[in-house]
Amino acid sequence: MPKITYIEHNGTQHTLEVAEGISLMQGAISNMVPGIEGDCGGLCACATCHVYIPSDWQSKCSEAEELENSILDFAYDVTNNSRLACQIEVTAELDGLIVHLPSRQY
Amino acid sequence: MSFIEPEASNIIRDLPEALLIINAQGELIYVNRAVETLTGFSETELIGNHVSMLMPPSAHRRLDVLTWLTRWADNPDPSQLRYLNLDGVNKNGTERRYRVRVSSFKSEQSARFLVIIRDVTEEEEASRRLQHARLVSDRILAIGDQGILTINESQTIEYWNKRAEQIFGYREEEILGQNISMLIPEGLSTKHQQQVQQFVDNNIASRLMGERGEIKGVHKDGHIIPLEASITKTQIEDRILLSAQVKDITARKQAEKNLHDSELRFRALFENAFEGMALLSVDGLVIEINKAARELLANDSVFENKYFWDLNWWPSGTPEDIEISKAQLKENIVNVFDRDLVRLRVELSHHTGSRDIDFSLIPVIDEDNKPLYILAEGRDLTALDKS
Repeated sequence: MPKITYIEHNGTQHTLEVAEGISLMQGAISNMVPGIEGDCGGLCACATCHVYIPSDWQSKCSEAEELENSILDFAYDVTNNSRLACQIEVTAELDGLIVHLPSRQY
Repeated sequence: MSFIEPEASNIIRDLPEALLIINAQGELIYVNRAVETLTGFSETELIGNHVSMLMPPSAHRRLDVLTWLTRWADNPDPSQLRYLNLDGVNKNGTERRYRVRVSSFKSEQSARFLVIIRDVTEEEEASRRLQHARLVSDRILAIGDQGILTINESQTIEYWNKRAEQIFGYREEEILGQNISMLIPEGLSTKHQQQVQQFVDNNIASRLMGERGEIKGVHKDGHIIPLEASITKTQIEDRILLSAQVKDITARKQAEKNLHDSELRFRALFENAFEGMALLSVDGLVIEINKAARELLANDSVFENKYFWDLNWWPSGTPEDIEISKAQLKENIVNVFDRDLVRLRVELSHHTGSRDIDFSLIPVIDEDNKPLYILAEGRDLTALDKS
C-alpha cells in the first residue's frame, strides 16, 4: 500500500499507508489527519480539502480539471502547487508522496 | 426602486432577509433594511459604494466578490453553493462569514445582480467546533488499546477503529458495510446474532466487560481470537446503533497459561522431592510444606499458618525435651537472616523411631536484599546411615 506523508501547517507529520483507489482526501479523513475537512464529501464542491503537492510529484497525480481549478479560487492561500485532495486518486505511483496542508481550509 | 411597484418595494424593504442590488461594476444601488441591520452600515453609507465594502478582497484568496457574483448569477443554486461562503466584514470591522445567493436581471438595458446575504458566522463556527471535537474524540478512539466498532440494527459494521484493524486484520475500507458475522467463528454466528437481537430488544443500555464471559472472534487469516467485550446501545431517532469495545485477551490468556504451567512444574518438583521442604514466612509461619515433610509429621493434619517450630516434629519426646528442641528451632529460624544459612544434623524422635535428619534453613531475599521467605529443608539420612 502506498505510504503517504501528510504534513500539517504546524509541521506535524502523519505518515500513513493509504489504500490504492481512494482519494488523498479520504485517506486523510479516515486517518483523522487534522487540517483536511472534506465538507462536501468529495464532490469537488467545497474547497476544504485544499493541499499542496510538491512540483516534482504533480505529474504523478491525475491532472486537475476545470471544475477543480474554479473551486480552488475559493480556497485559502492557493499557490501553483495547490490541488483538491478529493480529486487525486491514490495509486502505487504516489508511494512516498508528501502532502502539505494549508493553514486553514475555509 | 423606481422599477418596482411601490407596494412591492415596501415589501422588499422590510424583508427579513438581507437583500441588495448591484450594477455590473459592483456598485450598490439598493439595500433593504435587513442589510443595514446585518452590516451596521446605513443605506446612505452603502449606496454608490462598491460591494467589496461588505465582502472585501483578501490577499489569501484568488477570488473577488464581483467575479463570484458573475459566476453564479445565471446558476443561483448549484450544489457547490451549499459549501462556498464568502468572507465579509461589518461596519465595526468584525469579520463575518456570509452565505450569498445571486441572480441577475436587466433594468434599463443594464445588468443588475440581486443578492441575498445570510450571516452564517455562528453556524459555521458551531459546525467547525463539532467537527474539531469529533476529530479529537476520533483520535482518542483511534489510539485506544481496545478495538471499537459500531453496528446498526441489521448488524452491518458502521464504525471501525485502528485497534480493531489490528485485532481482526481487516482495514476500515474492507470491513465497513460488512456484516458482523464476518468476525464471528463459524458455528457461533447464529448464537451471536440471537444475542445481539436480545440486547437490542431488552432495556439494558450497556453491558460491561466482566458481566459476560469470554467471547470468540475470528481474524481475517482464520485464527480464533479470545476476546472480552463491552457493548452499548444508542437509539438515534428510529435507528439503533450498537457500539462495542473489544479487548484481545490472547496475551493475557497465554500469560495465565504460562503461569499455570509454571505452577504445575514447580509443584511437581516440590511435591515429589525426596527432601522434606517447607516455605516459611520471614517470621516462621508455614506457607507451603511438601509431601516428604508432611510424612515426618504424621500426627499433624493442618500445617499452613502455624509456626514451623510448633509442628509436631517430636511425637515421642518428653515434654521437657520437646520444649528445648522447639526453642532451639525457633532461635535458628528467627535469626536465619543474620546467618545466611543454618545447617544442622538433628535427631527427630519420630513415631516410627528415631530419624537422623540433615536439616537446613536458607534465607531467601529479593533483589533489594529484602527478606522474602525462609526455606526449610530436611533430608532423612536414617536409611543411608544404616547402610
